Amino acid sequence: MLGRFKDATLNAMGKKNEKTGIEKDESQRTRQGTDKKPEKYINGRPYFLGLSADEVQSSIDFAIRPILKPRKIHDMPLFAGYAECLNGGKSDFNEDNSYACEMCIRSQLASRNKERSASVGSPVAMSHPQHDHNGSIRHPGAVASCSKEYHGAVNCNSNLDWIDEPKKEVASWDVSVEGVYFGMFDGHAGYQTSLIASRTLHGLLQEELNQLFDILAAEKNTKCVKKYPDMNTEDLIVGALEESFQRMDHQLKTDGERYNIRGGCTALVALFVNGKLYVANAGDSRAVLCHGESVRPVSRDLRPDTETEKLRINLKGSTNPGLLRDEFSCLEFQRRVIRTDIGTQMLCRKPGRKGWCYKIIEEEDLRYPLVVGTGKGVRLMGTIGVSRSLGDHDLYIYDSDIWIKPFLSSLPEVQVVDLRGETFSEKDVLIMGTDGLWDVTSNENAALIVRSEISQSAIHDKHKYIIAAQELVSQARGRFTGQGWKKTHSDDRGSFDDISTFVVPLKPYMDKWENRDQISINSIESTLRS
Amino acid sequence: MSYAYLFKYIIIGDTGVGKSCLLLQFTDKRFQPVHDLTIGVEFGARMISIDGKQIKLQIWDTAGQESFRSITRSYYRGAAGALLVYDITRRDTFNHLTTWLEDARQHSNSNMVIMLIGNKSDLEARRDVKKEEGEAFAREHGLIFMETSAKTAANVEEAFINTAKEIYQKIQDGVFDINNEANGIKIGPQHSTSNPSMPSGGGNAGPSGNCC
Repeated sequence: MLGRFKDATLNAMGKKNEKTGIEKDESQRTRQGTDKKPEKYINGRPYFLGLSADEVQSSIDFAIRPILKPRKIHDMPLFAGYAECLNGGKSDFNEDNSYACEMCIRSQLASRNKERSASVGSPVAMSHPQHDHNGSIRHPGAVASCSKEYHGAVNCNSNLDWIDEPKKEVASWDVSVEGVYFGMFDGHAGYQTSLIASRTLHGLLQEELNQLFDILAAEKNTKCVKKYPDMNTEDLIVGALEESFQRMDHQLKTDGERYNIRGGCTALVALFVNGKLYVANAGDSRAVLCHGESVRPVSRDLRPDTETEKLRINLKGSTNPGLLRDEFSCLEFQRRVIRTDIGTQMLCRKPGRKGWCYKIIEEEDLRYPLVVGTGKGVRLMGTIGVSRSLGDHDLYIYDSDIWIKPFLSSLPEVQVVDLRGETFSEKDVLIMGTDGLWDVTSNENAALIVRSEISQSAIHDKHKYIIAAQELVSQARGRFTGQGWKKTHSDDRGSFDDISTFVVPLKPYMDKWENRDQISINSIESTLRS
Repeated sequence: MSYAYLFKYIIIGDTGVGKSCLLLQFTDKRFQPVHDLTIGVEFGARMISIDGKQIKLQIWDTAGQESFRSITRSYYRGAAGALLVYDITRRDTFNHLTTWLEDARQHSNSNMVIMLIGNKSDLEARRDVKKEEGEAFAREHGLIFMETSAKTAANVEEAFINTAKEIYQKIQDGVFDINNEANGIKIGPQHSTSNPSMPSGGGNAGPSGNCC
C-alpha cells in the first residue's frame, strides 16, 4: 500500500513521482514523525508461527520471501490453515499481522472471578508476549479479559473449575458460550498498528461479548428466557464488533501519545459464535466463503471508490466544509474538471445523492476531488488507498495541515452468515486474505487452489488447511525471475505486497458447536435441577 | 548477537532421509525419533566460529515430498551452501541424487557449496549404500562428502561446519560477491548496539540456537 501512498501524496501536491522501483518505508509524513518515542512492541509475527525474536529477523529475507506457516497445528483453532509471506521490498517489514483464538464468552461475574484466580496462577500458558496495562511485555502473560489462547490440552469447560465463589452466587446457567476468532490486519506506513491491533482487538471484542453473555446463552439454549424478546441477537454481536473496532481505533490514538506509532491498518475479523459467522471488515482485505459449489465474498473491499464509501466521504466533506480547507471538492464530476471547462455544463453528483445532474462549472469546481482514481490506484484526498482503517490518527496531507483521519472510518461493515442447518464437508472453508493475495488471485481461483490441495491431502491429515494456505500464498507470490516475481504457472506478475491468508474449515466448528450445544443443555438442566 | 558473516544453507533430499533431524541435532543438539513431515520449508539458525570469526548459519530445511517441490525450489536462490542428504539404508534415496543435483544446480547460484551427506550411519546393519559409493558420487560431481548420524550426532557438527569453511574459503579467494545478498551471504552488523527507533537492530536478536 505504501508505494501507492507516496505516489499519490506527490501527485496531490502537483508533482510527478519520477521515482521508479522500490519504495521504502519513508512515505508517511506525520506531525509527530520526528518524535523519539519507544516502540510499543518489538517487531513480531503471529504467535502461532512460533518464531523467536531472532527467527523473526531471519525471516525478513527479500531474496527468498519465505512462506511462513504455523509450526504446531494445535496452535490453530479448528486446525485452520495460515500462511504468510513478506513483500517484495516495498517496505522494510511485513506490515500484515494476524491473530486467531478460541473465545470463552462468559458472564462478567465469572470473568471477574477468573481474572482473580488467574492472577494467583493461571493454568493458561500463552506462547507469545502479552501486554499489560502498564505497557510492559510479559512472557508469558494473560490478557485482562478472559480471552484464551487455543491450546489443545486446556478446554473451556475446565475454566469453570476456577470459579471459587459458592455455586449459588453464580448465575444458574453460567456456562460459557464459545466463539472462534480470526483477525487479519494489513498495516500501512509501518508495522506497529497492525501488530498492536492483532494483539489487542480480540481482547476488546471479548469484553464486549462478555457483556452479552446472558443474551448469547439464551440464543444458544431456547430453554433460557430471552432478556430482550424484541432484540435480534445478531444486531448485538454486530454492535460488539463495531464497538471493539472503535475502541481499538481509540486505543491506537492514546497509545500514540506514549509510543512511536505511525500509520494505520485495515482489519478483517471472522467471528464464529452460536452457529453463525460474523465477518467484520474495515479496509480492503477480503473473506470468501466456499461452500459446496458456491464461492462468494462475505466482505466488501472498502476503498475510497467503493460506491457507498464515496458517498460517505463526499457527504462528510459537505457537512464539514472546514475539513476541506478550500483545497478539496466534495462534488463528483464525470471526469476531472479543467480550467477550460469553466462556464460549461458537466454531469455532477452532489454529496449524499445517488443520481447525477448537470452543473455549470465554476472556479471552485477545479478543486481536487476527495476521491480520485479507481481500483488499486484510487486515493482518498490524493493520499491513501483505503477508506476505512484503524489508526492513521496523525495522517495529514503531505506538507500541509489538512487532516485525513476524519474521512477514514474505523467502523467495520459486518456481514452475518447463518451456518446452522447446513451440511458441511471438509472442503468447505472460509478464505481470508489481505489485498496481497486478492490483487493477483480471483475468488474462484483461490477456491480452486484450496479445494485441490484439500482433495490431495489424506482425509485425516490435519495439516491440509495449512498446506492449502501455503499454496495460496505460494501461487500469489510466484517465483523470482530475471523480471521480478512472476506467477508460477504463467507470465503474470506475482504479488509484490505482503501476503497473508487464513483457510478456516467450517465443518470442525459446526461439529463442535452442535455437540457443545448438547453438552451445554445437559449442564444447564443439571444446574437448574440442583 | 553480532556476527561477521551470515551464511544461508538449504537442506535437500528425498523425504524421510533425516533432513529435519539433522537440523534439529545441529541447532538443538537433540534427536527426535518421530518427526512430522515437513510442510514446505522450516528454518533454524546457529552461530559457529571459523578462524575466530563468528558466523551465523541460517538453514532452510525443505520438504522432500514432490508435491512441495515448487515451493522448496524458490529457496535455492540465496543459498550459499546446500546439504544434499540421502539415507544409507535406502538405495532409492541415493539413486535420486542426480535429480536433486540437477535441480540444485539449475536453481542456485553457481558458487553454491554442496555437501553430500549419507545419513543414518548408526544403522550399519541395515546399510544399503556403501560409503565408497557415496565418496565416488561426490568425487564425480565435485561435492564434499560425509556420512552422518542425526541420531548419535556423529559428524553432524562437522557437516555443517565444513560446508561453512568451504564457503569462508571461497570468500577469502574472492569467488563470492558478498555484496549480492542473492549469493546467500550477508556481512554482519558492524555494531550490536540497538537503536530504539530501529526495532530491527541487531541488539534485539537473542542468542541463537533456536530451532523449529
